[in-house]
Formats: sequence, C-alpha cells, structure tokens
Amino acid sequence: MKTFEERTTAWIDGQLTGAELAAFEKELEAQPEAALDRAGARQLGDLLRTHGTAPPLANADFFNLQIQQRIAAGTPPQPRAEVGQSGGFLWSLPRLLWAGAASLVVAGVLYVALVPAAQPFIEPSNYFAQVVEAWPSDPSISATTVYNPQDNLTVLWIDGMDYMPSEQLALQ
Amino acid sequence: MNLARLLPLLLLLLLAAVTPGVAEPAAPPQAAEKKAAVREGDKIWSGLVYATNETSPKDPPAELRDFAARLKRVFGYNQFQLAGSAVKPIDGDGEGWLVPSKNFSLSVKARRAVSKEARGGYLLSLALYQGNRQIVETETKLAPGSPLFIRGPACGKGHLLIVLQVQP
Amino acid sequence: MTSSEEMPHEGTEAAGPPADELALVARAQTGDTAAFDELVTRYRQRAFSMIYHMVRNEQDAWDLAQDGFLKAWKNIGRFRGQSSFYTWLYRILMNVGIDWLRKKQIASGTEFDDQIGLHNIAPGAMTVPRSELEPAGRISDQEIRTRIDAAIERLSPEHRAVIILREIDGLEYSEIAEQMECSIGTVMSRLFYARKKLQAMLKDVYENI
Repeated sequence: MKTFEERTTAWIDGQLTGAELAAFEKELEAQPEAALDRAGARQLGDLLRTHGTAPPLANADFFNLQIQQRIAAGTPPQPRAEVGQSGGFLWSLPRLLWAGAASLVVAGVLYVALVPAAQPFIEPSNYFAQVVEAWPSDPSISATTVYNPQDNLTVLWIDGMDYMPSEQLALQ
Repeated sequence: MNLARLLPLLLLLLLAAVTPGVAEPAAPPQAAEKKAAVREGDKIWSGLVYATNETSPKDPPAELRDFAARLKRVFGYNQFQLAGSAVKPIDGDGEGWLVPSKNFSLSVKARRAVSKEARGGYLLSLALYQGNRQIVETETKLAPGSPLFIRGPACGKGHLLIVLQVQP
Repeated sequence: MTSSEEMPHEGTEAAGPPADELALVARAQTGDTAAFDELVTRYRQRAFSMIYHMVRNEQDAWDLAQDGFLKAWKNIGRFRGQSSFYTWLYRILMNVGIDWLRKKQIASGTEFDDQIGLHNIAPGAMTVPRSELEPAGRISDQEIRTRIDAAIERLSPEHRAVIILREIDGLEYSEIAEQMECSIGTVMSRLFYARKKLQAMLKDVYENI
C-alpha cells in the first residue's frame, strides 16, 4: 500500500483515480486545509516553471570550443569500434626487442629502488585512507572521493546504485 | 645494423647484473614470510551500515563507536546500525572475497604498497558488487586507524554505508 | 523497468531520437570529435539548463555542464543505444550535479536538513498560514528568482533533482525513477517533502504574484 506521502503526491498531480481517489479524499475530510495545500503545490509548480527557468547559455560557441580544447588535451574516448588498421606492420622485430628490453630495464630499476627487500610493514602511518583511483563500471555510476580532514574521514561517494528496501537488511 | 641488434641483448645482460633478486636462484620460501610482506595477523574488516535519522537513536555498534560522531557530521544521520560484516586475513598473494551481506560483496586483492606514503598500510585492489552488478573498481590504500567509507545506495529512510578497515 | 527511447520531453522536440543521432554517436565512438561537437551543439542548452536548475549559479553550471559532456566523451564507447543519447547524457549530468552539491555540502560543513527540518511538518498538516499582501505591492521578477534560488539551495541534491525533473522538465514518475535509479515510491515521497519545504519558503511569493 502506498504511504500517505505517495498518495498525497499522486493526488496533487491528479494521478489518483477511482476507488483510491475516493478513499483518499475521505481520509482528507478531517483536514480541510488539504485542498489549499494542493492548490499551493500547483501554484508552486507554476512559479518554478515561470520564474525558475535557466538563463540561456551565453557564448554557446565558446562553450563548444572549450570542450574541444579539453578533449584535445585529455585522453581519447574508449573506442567501441575497432580502430582502423593503418596498413603495414608498425613495429618491426628489432623495435619490439628494443621496447621489451627498455621496459625490462625500467622495471628492474624500479624494483630495486622502490621495493623493500624482505622488510615487513611495521612503521606506523598517520595518513588518510586514500582512494588512488576509482573506475565506475558504467556511466550511470559516479564515484567521487571526498576527504574530510577535520573529521579524518575518507569517503568514496557513489551515486547510481540501486535503491534497496530496508526490509532486505538483516540488522544486528 | 649489428649494433642495433646487439643492443637489446646488452641491455638484458645489464638488467641481470643490477637486479640480484632476479639473478639469484629461487630460494625456498621461509614458513612465516610472504611475498607481499604482509604483517602477520592483519585482517581486513568490512561492515554494511544502515544509516538513518531517528528521534531516539540507538547507540552505534562497537566497531563504529569511534566514528559515529564524525559520520553524523558528514552524512547527516544520527543512527548507525550494522547490517552485516565480514573479516578476512590479508593475504599478500591471493584474491579474496568479503561478503558483509548477501546484497553486497567486495573482491579484495592486497598488493605490496610500494610507495612511501603507504608504509604501515596496504594497497588494495577492490571491486564492489551490488548483487551481481559490479559497481566500481578502485585502488585504495588503507591502514589501521584509517578506514574507508563507501557511501552506497539509498535504503529505506536512509542510506547504506560500507566500511572497510584494517585490523591488526 | 525499461529505458525510455524518448528524450525527456520539453515540448519542443519530436518523439524518438533523430534519425542521424545514432550515426553521430557511432562516429563519435570512433574518436570523431566533430561528430561529438555536433552532439554538444544539439544538447548544450538543455544540459546547461538541467545543471543550472541543480546548482543555481551560471558559472558553476557552465563548468559542470562541460564536465558532464567530457564524461560522456570519455565513456561514449559504453553507450549501447538502449536509450536515447540525451537520456544517457542526462543521467551523467545529474550525477555530476549531485556529486558537486554533495562535495560542496561536505566542504562547507552544512547539512541539508530534509528530514530533520520537517519535524514540524506532519504529513497532512498545513504548511504556513496564508499571508497578507504587502502594502508595497508586487514582488519584482529578480526578487522572485532570488527567492527561488535561495529556497532550492536549502534542498538536498536528491530533493532538488526530483523537483526539477517533475516541475520544470515535466517528467513522469517512472522517468524520474529511471534517471535517479530509485523506485517510483521514493520519487513520490521525495516530491512530497520537497514540495512541502518549498511551499513553506515560497508561499508568500506565489500567493503575491
């Protein structure tokens, strides 16, 4: 059964019909001001539509230009289609060997420089928990890391997850 | 060119000379030593928290008592209830699962934290799932005393939070 | 719940995506920035308006609308055509707006007291007594805007979103639920409280214009 709030919203928007409407209006007989509230909600809607609209986008072409500049400065999109072959084998065998050897050297230097040899983690740390990188799994999900230094909290703020009724929880 | 062909080989030899760990023959691992230098006994705990506003809020669970006041300021809720928890030892080698509730699970892989900032903590590859739906993958650094809160979906009158912390 | 194949209706476009929109998207997915530029041109005003309604500041709306388009560009390979491009973009923009509002809330230490602030407003109660006309007469358009901005500023991101999507964009409950990834009941409940709160703050405005 819908909650009172849901039925009120539907009633204001003229979405209640038939027996449900009759029952709800009977319930509201004890609240004579409810009709004024509905009128007020509708006036509110009119107000927002009339006076709450957004201004036109100024310098619209500049808006486009800035986006193009930011795209040019950033990474390309994840391609859906295969990138067209540019004809010919780009990397010859010697070049591949060069690239492989150079990568191994870099990896070796980093390994020696950064990886502590057989030293366990003992040293205490006072740093925040840190989300180094977060990759949402689809565009409807957004993930933002928020640090709150005053409260010493790190929050990964996710939007776009499915709502859950509380009845599904096994509260302890 | 001969030099061009020889150079990769020379570089490989140089690499072998400067990385003793690679050049040494594989030694049998010692019983208590793990490749990822994980501190013996460290565990990762995850909890699913149901955050709401109540006129008479209950006391928070013991696991959240230190954070409750701060959580209230950040999220705006005054009651935090535990809806599930899970704990697993941090395994420097493998990937594991934390399942604090049937609705949420986390795939966790602890990696050696190679940067100075993470000394005393762990670099984790985490993936959060809601049911079968993968929500997000992250690279996260955690340490004892510095948990991560994941603000999850709306639930009932409030929101769900997922808490991750390292327990020594 | 299936995705709507129609763009959020504002009464100015024909139902269903334009025939060449999918072609533009397909070209953009191969890295064609000119095709993406065309999509930006088509939807920039609506994107800007949508974000503006959330954040009530032109400069912030400009920046955030751009952020939304950039996020769409980076993820355009994931667009599967199951909804119209604008529906997909709209959801990205909403998340961008909500994220920004949340970060602003945490940074400023303020709270959106949608729940706490309604202790005095029982579900069936009248909001405020009817006000009398000021002897000075009508309130100016600029003042109305200022009052609306200030009132919406007091709403949480989720309540702002439902009011904007319903009252200004005219979406149905099911469309709002799809955009906000929540149930229809949640949409209706949020609308109830958002309207109550706005009525309490703006009653003297809409009764005197």
